[in-house]
Amino acid sequence: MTQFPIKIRSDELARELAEVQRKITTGLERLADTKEDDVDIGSTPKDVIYERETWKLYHYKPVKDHKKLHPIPLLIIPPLINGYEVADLQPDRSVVRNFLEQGMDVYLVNWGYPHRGDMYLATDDYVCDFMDDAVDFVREYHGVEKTNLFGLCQGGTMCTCYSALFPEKVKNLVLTVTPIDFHRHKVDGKPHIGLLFEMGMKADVDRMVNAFGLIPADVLNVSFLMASPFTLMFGKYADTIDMLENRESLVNFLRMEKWLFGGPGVSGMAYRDLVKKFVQGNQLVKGELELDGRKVDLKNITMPVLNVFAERDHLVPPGCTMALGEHQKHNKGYKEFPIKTGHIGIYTGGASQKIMVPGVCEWLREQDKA
Amino acid sequence: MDWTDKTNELMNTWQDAQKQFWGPWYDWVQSSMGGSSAMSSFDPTQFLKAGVDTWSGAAGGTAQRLAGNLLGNPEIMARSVNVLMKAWETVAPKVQAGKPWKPDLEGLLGQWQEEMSSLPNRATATAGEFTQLTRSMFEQWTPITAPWLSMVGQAMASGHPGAAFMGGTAGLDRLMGFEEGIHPLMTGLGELPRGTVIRQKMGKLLEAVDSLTDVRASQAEFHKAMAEAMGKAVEQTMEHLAKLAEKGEPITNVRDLLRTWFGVADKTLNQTFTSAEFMEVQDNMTNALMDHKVKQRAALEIIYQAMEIPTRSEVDEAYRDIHALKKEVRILRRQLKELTQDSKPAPARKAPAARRAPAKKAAAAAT
Repeated sequence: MTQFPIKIRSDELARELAEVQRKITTGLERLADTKEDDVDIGSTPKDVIYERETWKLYHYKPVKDHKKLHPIPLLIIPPLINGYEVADLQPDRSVVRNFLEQGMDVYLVNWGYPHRGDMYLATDDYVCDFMDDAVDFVREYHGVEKTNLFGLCQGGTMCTCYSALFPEKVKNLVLTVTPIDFHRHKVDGKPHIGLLFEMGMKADVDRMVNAFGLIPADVLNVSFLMASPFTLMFGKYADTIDMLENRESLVNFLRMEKWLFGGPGVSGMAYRDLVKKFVQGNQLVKGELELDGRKVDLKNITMPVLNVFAERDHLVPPGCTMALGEHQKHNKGYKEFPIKTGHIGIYTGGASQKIMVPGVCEWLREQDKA
Repeated sequence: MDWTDKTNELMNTWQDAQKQFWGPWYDWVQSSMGGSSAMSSFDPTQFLKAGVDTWSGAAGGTAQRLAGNLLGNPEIMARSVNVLMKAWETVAPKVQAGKPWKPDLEGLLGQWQEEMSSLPNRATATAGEFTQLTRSMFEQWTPITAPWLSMVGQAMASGHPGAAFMGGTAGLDRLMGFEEGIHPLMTGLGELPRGTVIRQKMGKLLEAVDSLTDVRASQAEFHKAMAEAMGKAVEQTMEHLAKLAEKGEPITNVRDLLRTWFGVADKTLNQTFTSAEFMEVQDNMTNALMDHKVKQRAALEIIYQAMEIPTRSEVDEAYRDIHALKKEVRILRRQLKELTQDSKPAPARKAPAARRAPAKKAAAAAT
């Protein structure tokens, strides 16, 4: 028999609302005591060993004896969109810290916050100038001919381009949730998967760049929120009510919020490249991409490649990432490493912390032994 | 008991509970919704507006922004439950009788969508005079509730509920690149003595105003598309509730009801967002906003030039030249390096164990 589908009793409703009210009140008191410094992200100890224009090169303080450190340095390249802190969000959920624990000597490029004056920085500036400069600095600083590269999301796309242009400087290439083929984003019956790429397909990016110069982070965030507007804007905060009484959980939630909404804007030209050349033109896999007047040929990538992807990634669907394999048939050192998690979870998820970094380190040790 | 009575009882219980526990918030929510007639004054894009309002307050600090989100929770909760109750009130008798209920809901949603879609047009109709229209470029954006415009509204505001609660005063002027000083300047544009402005300059001002008309038209379309999408989301949620009724699996608390609503709404919106029709409407609105921003700038530059202040375009041109020079230097350096190294792969520049070298400074490397 059909039953009335909403059975909310007045006494239970009263209790529920009272509970919500109490938790919110407690939460607001707790938040009032929470200073911005308490919500620390990117906190693993490090030195700035080089800085230039908008960016800095970090060298993380090793936690293992120098003699036990892996001989090849690991240079982490974050994306231009969103801050580097996703790799070092909180002490117990830190890719960087895990690498240090594994005995890696870790370097990272923090692209920083570009200003209006940086609006003309394009992909070739980032890849052929800034990245190349960072790689050269690490090689010199560390005294090695080649370095290992570890790319985060779009940073991985930049690492891919770099490795194709400067293969002589890259020992091993590790990519994580990295878009390569931007036209393999659709999954039947799941419109939220690959929504960003779909939206970018017809976007008039020239207009946007002309209007803004520097694309504000808030404009980029709107795009991310569109993937699940209700859940991300309301549902998430409704669920937060339950964690307000646990200070540690609350601070960790705030760390994620700080990273999500505190990211940098993006230079207009780099954004234009991303949308027109990569998303719309799919030039990387078509072999049409040129940076600094040089063609980016994926066949030039001959060093060992570990392609790590998230099976539940809705921002960069696995198809976009795994496409690299089709362009690496010549490369016996190419390997894929799937992890059952989502796009951000691969860096911050508890399960991923136990799987990804140890797996990457094991693979690197095997390669560097050979 | 009849389902209509049950729905009324549920609504009364809900309103009583709100009054009891959220006293001041309840008044605020009710007044912002124009009284107790929840559905007729319900604006679907208010959901998105409220979300954008809260998350865009990042300038006030992470904890402040979350405080804003928490303060917004009762409002969202109330809005959600009110609209669902109203829709359920419409369909419940038919669901109970096992009759088609969609036509009734469609009537209600149609009325609602029509109301929503006509909002921007009504706003435009009141702004006939040039001065009023230019003034409205800023003052009348806030009521147009699409997320993009909400951001603009926020850019003008002095803070958000979270900031206010925490004692912060951080402005949000950075959003959309509208600096604080632009507002009064643009407001005054329409009051410039027209006789002193040459035709070409006047043309730029008129273009800026015209572009606002384009913005409004595209927003009306976006508004309509969003209202339709939200209507579909409500319909899907009613369908979900009807299925729960058939299965005999009732929802027993408000937060589960909200989770159901959010989940169904997201799924429905995703389908809409990826449709070619919606994307076209969204792109048109985005393009109109971008064009308007560019034309605003062009109009402002008339004033800057008259005051001998470097304009945005001139400064950007200087940036472009600096960037081009840097790039030229980089390419020349690379060519020089290739010549001197005979194109061999670059070895390490120093012997191993060169660690802990002092940091290079930006100035040395930037050129």
